Amino acid sequence: MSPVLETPVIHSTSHSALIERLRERLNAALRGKADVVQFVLTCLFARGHLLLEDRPGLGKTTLAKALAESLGGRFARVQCTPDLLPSDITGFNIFNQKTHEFEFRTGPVFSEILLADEINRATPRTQSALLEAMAERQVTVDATRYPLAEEFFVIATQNPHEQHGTYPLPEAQLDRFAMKLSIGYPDRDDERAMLTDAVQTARQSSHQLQPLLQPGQLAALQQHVASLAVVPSVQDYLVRLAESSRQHPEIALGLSPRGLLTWQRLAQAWAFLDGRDFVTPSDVQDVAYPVLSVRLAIDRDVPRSVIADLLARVEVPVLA
Amino acid sequence: MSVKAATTKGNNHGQANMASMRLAWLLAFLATLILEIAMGDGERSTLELAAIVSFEFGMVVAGTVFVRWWERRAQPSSNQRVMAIFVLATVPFLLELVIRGLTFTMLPLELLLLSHFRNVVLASAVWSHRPDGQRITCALSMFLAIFASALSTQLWLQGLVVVFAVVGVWWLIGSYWERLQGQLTATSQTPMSRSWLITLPVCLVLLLLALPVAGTQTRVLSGFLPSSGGSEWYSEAARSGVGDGDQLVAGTENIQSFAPIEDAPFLSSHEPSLYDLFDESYNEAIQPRKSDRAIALPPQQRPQTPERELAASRQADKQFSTLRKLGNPRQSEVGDRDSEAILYVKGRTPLHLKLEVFDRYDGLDWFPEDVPDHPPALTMQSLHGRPWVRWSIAQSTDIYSQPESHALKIIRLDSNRVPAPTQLLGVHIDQIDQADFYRWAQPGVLRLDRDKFPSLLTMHVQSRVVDERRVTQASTIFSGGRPNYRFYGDDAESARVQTLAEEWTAGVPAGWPQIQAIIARLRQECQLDPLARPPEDCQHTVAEFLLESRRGPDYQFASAAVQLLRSLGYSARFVSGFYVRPTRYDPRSQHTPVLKDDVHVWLEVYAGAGDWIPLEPTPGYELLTPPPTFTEQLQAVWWSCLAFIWDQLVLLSLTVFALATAIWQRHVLIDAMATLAWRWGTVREERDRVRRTLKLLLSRCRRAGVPCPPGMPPTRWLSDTCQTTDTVEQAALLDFLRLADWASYAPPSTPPVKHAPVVCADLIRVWSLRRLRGLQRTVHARTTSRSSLSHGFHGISLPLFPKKSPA
Repeated sequence: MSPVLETPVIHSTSHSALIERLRERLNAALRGKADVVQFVLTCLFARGHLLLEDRPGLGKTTLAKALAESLGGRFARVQCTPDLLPSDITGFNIFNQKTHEFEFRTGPVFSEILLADEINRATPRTQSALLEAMAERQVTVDATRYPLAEEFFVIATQNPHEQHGTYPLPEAQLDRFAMKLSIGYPDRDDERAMLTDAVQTARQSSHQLQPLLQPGQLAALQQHVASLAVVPSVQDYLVRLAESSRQHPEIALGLSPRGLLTWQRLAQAWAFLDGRDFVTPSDVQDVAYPVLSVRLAIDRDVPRSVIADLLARVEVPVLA
Repeated sequence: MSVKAATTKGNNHGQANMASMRLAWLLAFLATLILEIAMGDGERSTLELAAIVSFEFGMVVAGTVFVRWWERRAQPSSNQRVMAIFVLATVPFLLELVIRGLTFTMLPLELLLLSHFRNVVLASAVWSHRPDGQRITCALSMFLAIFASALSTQLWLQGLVVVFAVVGVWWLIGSYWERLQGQLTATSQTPMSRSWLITLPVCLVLLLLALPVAGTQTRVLSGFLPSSGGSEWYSEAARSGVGDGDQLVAGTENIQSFAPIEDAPFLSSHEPSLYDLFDESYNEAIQPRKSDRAIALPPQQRPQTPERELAASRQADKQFSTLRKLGNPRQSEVGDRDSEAILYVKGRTPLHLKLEVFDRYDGLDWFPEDVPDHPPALTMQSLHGRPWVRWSIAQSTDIYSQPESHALKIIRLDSNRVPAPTQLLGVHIDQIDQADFYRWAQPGVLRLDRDKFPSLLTMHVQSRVVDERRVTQASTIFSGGRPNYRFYGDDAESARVQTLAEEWTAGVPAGWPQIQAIIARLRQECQLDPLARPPEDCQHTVAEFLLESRRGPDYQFASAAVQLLRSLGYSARFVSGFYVRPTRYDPRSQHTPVLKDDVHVWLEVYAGAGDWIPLEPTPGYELLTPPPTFTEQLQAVWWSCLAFIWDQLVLLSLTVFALATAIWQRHVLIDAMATLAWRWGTVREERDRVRRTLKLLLSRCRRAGVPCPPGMPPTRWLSDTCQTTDTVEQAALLDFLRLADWASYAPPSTPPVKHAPVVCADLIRVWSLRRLRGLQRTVHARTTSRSSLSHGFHGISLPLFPKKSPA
């Protein structure tokens, strides 16, 4: 029995309308970056975490905040520095003088959207604490386990490697991110529009944006995405891609099974955003670059051409 | 039908299956061997047989490997297996068509059917790892072996049949034992479909109805074998006949029934004699009523006349009358057949076969020449191990080309004379190695020392041809010869003929040019009319022919030519025999038949030193020219090619034009056919239709020069490639791409987004090959910049990853 039939909500108009509004909101916040927005949404519905590699001031925080507002969740931000401690992220126990008890002060991870800025400036110890929270969706402080929010979504940013004072994330930790994106500078027209926008919003009275999703709706959508159909031929295609990545001469570390699972999930989310109930090889290819660039150790400095070559090598299943 | 091994005895069964598969192969091999031996019928060497059978079994092994590979890749359905076997079985028929078209040989029907069976046996042997394949193989090879063994009587074929029977019984025992042990359990059995239940009885009834209607015309049933070629009909492909085929079977292969072969038994027969043949073609001679001037002969002379006449008729020495009855030639009593060959000639044609020479002419009749007093002595010589009769030939002028041989296969000639070309050098008849078996009948004409030829006699004659160019060069002196060759009447009619001859040769130098001038004038001035006859009171037929009618049969031409030449002082003689017409050549048997209509009369002129040069005065008849040299042959081929091209210029240029257009526009043609196939193809469900449409569109892309690379999803490729501003085109494409994704990658339960047939039809109509070709240039520009990762969604084309700004 197909999983599609078990789920009652297939693409009704409300669904696509909701996604369209979400997309509009994010596009308004981050001008001229529709493709980035699409990937962010994909990552969100695939229940993965996002790594943004870019320079300061390109709208990472704006994007995260707009996302948090739209989803109606809590938003937290951690500015990672070399002296940031793990407890600064997870929270810590504090002795309450009144009750004479230790009580837990939650850290910024107890939120729906967490923006970890310049994550590669934090020490590896702090990085691993955050990454454990990302992977397990829980934190353990003094032998007590505290579960995180169901929709917990991390947008981490990092500076490009060549900058000073950075602790590059090891491959094992990079693998916990679903995808890596870079926003990049906007076009000239978009920048001009952005400036005009800034003047207009200053004139208007500031207003709080209403969240677009009901509580629990994101989790339901994420579950629906996870159950979208992937026919055997497409799964076989994914497996062959993974095998090929492990044999590619220019790829030092191939795709891990976890990475493969993430890839399938992202392809499902991409298909969902495209309004389909099934995954095609095009979906797989569309999400290939952000998925692979975060977790493949590529010798050359031009991962894009290597990934294009990888995709060109593996035959697409035609007429399954 | 699928038969599965019981799980407990799976291994056991595997071994048993292997053993019975080997038995099936052995049976198929034996049956094939028996068939090939029977087909060869003693004509094939052991090496040839081994090559054929090992080729066939090599094919079986290759087929087995292929089938294993096929079954690993995909499980072929039983329908596909039957189709594959059917295709293999029809191959002989198609091959036979091609062979018949290309060469002139053909297989008889029964061999064709048997080779069809052989292919089925071999094809099912390929599948003999399955029990049903084994059974079909064994059953059919049994039929094949039994039928094929009936075709031939070779001894070791019978031995093979015995071996086959032993192996077959062994297989039957094994198969029965398997049944008893219950190792095979049929898990499912396909019931006979209803269409068969109807079709089979209908076919049977139709066959039964057809039998009386077809009646005697049902050739399949009339002979002992389908193409035996007997009982008043014949098959061109028959290789052996029963009864009376109306054409003789050509002696190229082993002839069992009726044909001239070297070791044919000397039988007596009732064939018409040579002079019956002449009378049948030219009508009988008019016997002049001479009763009023009869003179009683002394009694001692009287018995001689009938005796001489009788002897003359037996020895075929009868005068040749040029004054014969009018009217249609009498049909012989055995004339109820289409064509009757008197003899067959193998060798170059046209050929004049001389049977009798005549020297004296009395104005009406030609009288046969006598045997010379001292004819050349006949000796036997062995040439390539064969006995040839030869004689001393006077050292003559060098006017001849190289000697060449002809084989004569005599069927029904009642004569003892060797029908031989003019310059006969030697005669060979198998087994006849005594020179005294041959006698001179007339100068240059040999006969056998018996009343007539045995039936179905093959003889070889060696002769040489006069090369006309050498005659001109050698300045041959046309003088001499015995007086009876120059005998010329001194009556008034003869004088008139002589005047005519002098008139025709006025100013022409004596010798060969004069002779040629006479012949050329005769051929030019007179008309061949086989039915023209001089008036019955004619006293000098040559004068009547040359000076009055100028129409007549070939003997009038020959008489006239001899008389004209003699009047100028040349020695010439009148020759009768057969003319082997090149137009009768049968390329299939490589023989030229000589029929009774081919009796002919010509002349020879004496060239001195014992050389006689044949001349052909009758229009429409040609002399044999010397064999062409290699360069001459090349030239002839070249000219005939040019002539063919010139003759068929319009047709050829149209064909070339059509072919060139077809090659130039091959993509369009192939696409049109593929579209037609797409349109007429039936589909069981929507998904299949969409898939076939996608396939067609992708093949169009390939033909338009924009093939989809293997690492590219086809829908992505199409949406990238087929960029357009036309809304209709775009809508057709986008609708279809959605459907294509659905058909290719959606789980089976998902319903289609749109009505598939309409979308597919729209797509095929809008995105034609021509339209896709228009895209070719723009696409090439894009593919070089490798845009596989950029894509568009919701109608907007977006670059996914902006280039990093320079730091």
